[in-house]
Amino acid sequence: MTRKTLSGWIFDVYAVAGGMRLWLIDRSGKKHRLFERFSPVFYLGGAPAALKQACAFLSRLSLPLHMKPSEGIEFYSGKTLPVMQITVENPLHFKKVVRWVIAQENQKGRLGKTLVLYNADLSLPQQYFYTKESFPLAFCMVLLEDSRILALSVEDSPWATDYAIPPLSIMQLRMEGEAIDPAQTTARALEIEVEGRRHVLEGGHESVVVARFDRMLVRHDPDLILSEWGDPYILPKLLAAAARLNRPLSLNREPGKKVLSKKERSYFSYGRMVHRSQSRTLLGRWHVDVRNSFLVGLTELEGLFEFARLSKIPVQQMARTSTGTGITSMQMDLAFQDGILIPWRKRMPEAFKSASQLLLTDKGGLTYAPRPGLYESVGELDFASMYPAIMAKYNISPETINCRCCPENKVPEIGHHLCQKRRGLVPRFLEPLLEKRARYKTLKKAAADPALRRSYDERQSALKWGLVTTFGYQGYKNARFGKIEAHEAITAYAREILLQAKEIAEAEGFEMVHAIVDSLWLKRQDASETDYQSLSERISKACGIPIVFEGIYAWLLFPPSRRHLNLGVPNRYLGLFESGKIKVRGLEVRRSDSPPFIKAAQREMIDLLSTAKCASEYQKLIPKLKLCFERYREKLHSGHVPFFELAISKTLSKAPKDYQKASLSAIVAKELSGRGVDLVPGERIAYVIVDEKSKVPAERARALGFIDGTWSYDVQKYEQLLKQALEALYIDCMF
Amino acid sequence: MKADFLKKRATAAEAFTRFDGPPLSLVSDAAGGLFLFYGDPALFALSPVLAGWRLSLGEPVFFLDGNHCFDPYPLVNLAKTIGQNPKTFLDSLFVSRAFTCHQMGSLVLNQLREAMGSHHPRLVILASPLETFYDESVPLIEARNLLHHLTAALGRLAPGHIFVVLSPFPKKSAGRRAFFLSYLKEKANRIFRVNRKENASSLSITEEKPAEQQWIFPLETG
Ligand SMILES: [Zn+2]
Repeated sequence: MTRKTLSGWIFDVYAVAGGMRLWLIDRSGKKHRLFERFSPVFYLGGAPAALKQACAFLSRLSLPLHMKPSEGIEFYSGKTLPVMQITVENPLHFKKVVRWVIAQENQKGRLGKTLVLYNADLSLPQQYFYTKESFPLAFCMVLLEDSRILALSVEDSPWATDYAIPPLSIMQLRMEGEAIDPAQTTARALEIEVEGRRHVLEGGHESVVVARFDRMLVRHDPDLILSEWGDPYILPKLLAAAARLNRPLSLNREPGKKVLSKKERSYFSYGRMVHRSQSRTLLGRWHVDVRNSFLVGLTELEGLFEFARLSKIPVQQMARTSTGTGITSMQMDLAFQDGILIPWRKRMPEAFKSASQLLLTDKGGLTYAPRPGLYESVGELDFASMYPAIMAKYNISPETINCRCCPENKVPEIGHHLCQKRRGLVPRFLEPLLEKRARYKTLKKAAADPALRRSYDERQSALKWGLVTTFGYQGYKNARFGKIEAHEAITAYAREILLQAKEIAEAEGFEMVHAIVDSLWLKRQDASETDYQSLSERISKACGIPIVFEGIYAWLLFPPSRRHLNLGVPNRYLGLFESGKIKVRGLEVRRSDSPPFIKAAQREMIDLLSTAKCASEYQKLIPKLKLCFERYREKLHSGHVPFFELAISKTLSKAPKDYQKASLSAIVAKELSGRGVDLVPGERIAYVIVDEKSKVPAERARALGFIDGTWSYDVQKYEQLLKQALEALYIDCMF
Repeated sequence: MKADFLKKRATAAEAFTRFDGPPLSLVSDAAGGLFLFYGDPALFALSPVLAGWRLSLGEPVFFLDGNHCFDPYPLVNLAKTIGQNPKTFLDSLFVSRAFTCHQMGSLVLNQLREAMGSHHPRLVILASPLETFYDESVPLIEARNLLHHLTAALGRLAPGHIFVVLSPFPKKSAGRRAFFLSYLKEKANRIFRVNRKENASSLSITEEKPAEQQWIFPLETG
């Protein structure tokens, strides 16, 4: 037996018999496969008789378990509770034991009433990281006996902003050709990019493709396989072919283990259809499908790494989960470190409130719709991370809202109250996170190196999205540490603060043009940047929540609503800051379902407009805008626009057979099912409109992946879409 | 005092002449019990009438919302139509919303009895209680067990109170969980199936248990 020390980054962690497998990558890029003993723990609380019976049940299981009386803090009351600590010696037994306890207690009707489970739904890597106060991608030093970890010291902090990422070797996988969901089109060749070279595994027999792919895996031994549609298509296909050929693929680095697969799921949750693609994750190597990852799609890998480090969720899982789950894990970690028992499942219902109270509390954020038109000298002020900042400032958390001790500390307007004696978990968790995001923003401004600037920006924007999705309009109600009353308190403060900001601005002679929840658009003819700066300082001071001056617009357009020409639409605008930066919200270029052709046309028109330095120059450009429109119109009429450019992509709300009306989505979904493509609600499809008015539904639109030269697109329809894209920027009646 | 009270009763009765049919006629004579209305999603149109019936008598009403479907406006309109103060209606209707089946379970199993003890409603409406149980992020067995306990608790609470459950047909997305409706049926004292022909201006209500009978309920138009 040899003892040695080693330093490097924690790359992957998963449970194996008796403990955790830990992969470390050292500075030279070398991988080390290590093992650490680890026994996960959960707790049982409740009435003594029920506890006794549960323990009797556990001791009848012939598994190595240890039970001992212990204590923990109850989340809502803050009181210390006696509990039974159950240590499951082998982590591979953990899930099973918890499942058995749940089934047994559910059957007896005790669960949640006389018996309560705590810390029971933490994943094993999460629990390992929480316990060891370590995290994915942490740089650490380990003391080893052979490959067994005797001691591990973390020489890194999740709060660090200047951390390094291990040197990773990357292999990219995609199907050749345009970016179309490979399950919804004809067969294509597999394309592999590795070490700067592109290889196309052209047709031939599947055995040839599988063998070549496997040889490349072995030769390049990539740490990260970065794919497009690897989860639902490429890996399942390759694995199925390998199984048929009885030829194992070297995808895992853990010998003798299968690739982990999760089935696709489509379900109704919180009032909307959710689709989770199937997934294929690896052991000792990462597979990340960029098409199946919110974070990677948004911020590339920087945001993913940032989230994995902070949330303590391993990279492959973090890539596939929502930022909300990441944020919840950060809160659970804090609770865990404080000895708070983490309640199993979200169960605290809303307290009964009268319908009048409900109308008062359920109002959400304030919105003042803009009057349509082209404006000059408008400035924009945004409250930074308003909801989280409010929670931190007013101590809003599920266990502080309507506490038993502070009925006098009222929330404005709605009658809830907040604790002044106990600092809440959510505010405590938010403070360092908000601070970290602010630090990234400062670093980004100061960074001279563009690559560094981009990486800071990606990290801060990942944090921003995490905060928005968790504490935004919908998310908070559903979060594990969310409580509807807390959400109501936040929106009540937000309304008050926005009104307060409006009043301060109006007192200084500004006119409010538009406002939405946490942003204000103000106008005063002579106002300079300094005026806006000092206004935002005064508002920040008065409200206690920082408001940021975004800039003055050289011009700002609020297009009219398509139905009511004299009404504007909240959060739909186009403006040019005096700094030269264009800002667009709600227009076709920003919409995920717009055809690329229409987006390109509007993008070009917007580029043209960005040369206008004031409203009158904007108006002078309108003839040019019309010329641009004409050019695109001609292209359309030539019939030569590629189908790919005309694709409209939509999310299916139902299974193809459940559609009653012949909407275009329904028609195409049926076409695809007819071609043997399995579609489930929540999945996205792409189609081209071929003849919208056709009497034969199947001839109105066709699936992008299968459309061929025997079809032609509906020129009139696309011209109409093009016209709408133009008219969003210019309407006769406005000028 | 007495005269006032009588007057109030009279206006309320008058006001409900419009509603001398179902659903009120189906539940108003009962001392208590669990009444299940299931079928077309338009059945939610029954809830303001049911709530208005007790609210107009100055009683509180409970509304347990399993699908974020509580809509105060029909109730306000009803109050106005029958010459009552909408504010009084809104002050006496108590709502609790559940977003997960564990919340719905906890609401019925742990919170409801205590809340009923402090407000004394005679009528408790459960709107779409099954919706949260269709969520597949909760394992089937877990959801089923919880639902079993929930319906058993409803069965225990119902005598002496009128529990009305409004449950639309399971959506296709309920998948394998569509049978959850049978748990409610099993505990219900009376079961009514609600149908609506496409674009029809009325609902037809058919009793399935205990007797086979049919009624028509006119829907508000316009
Ligand atoms: Zn307090």
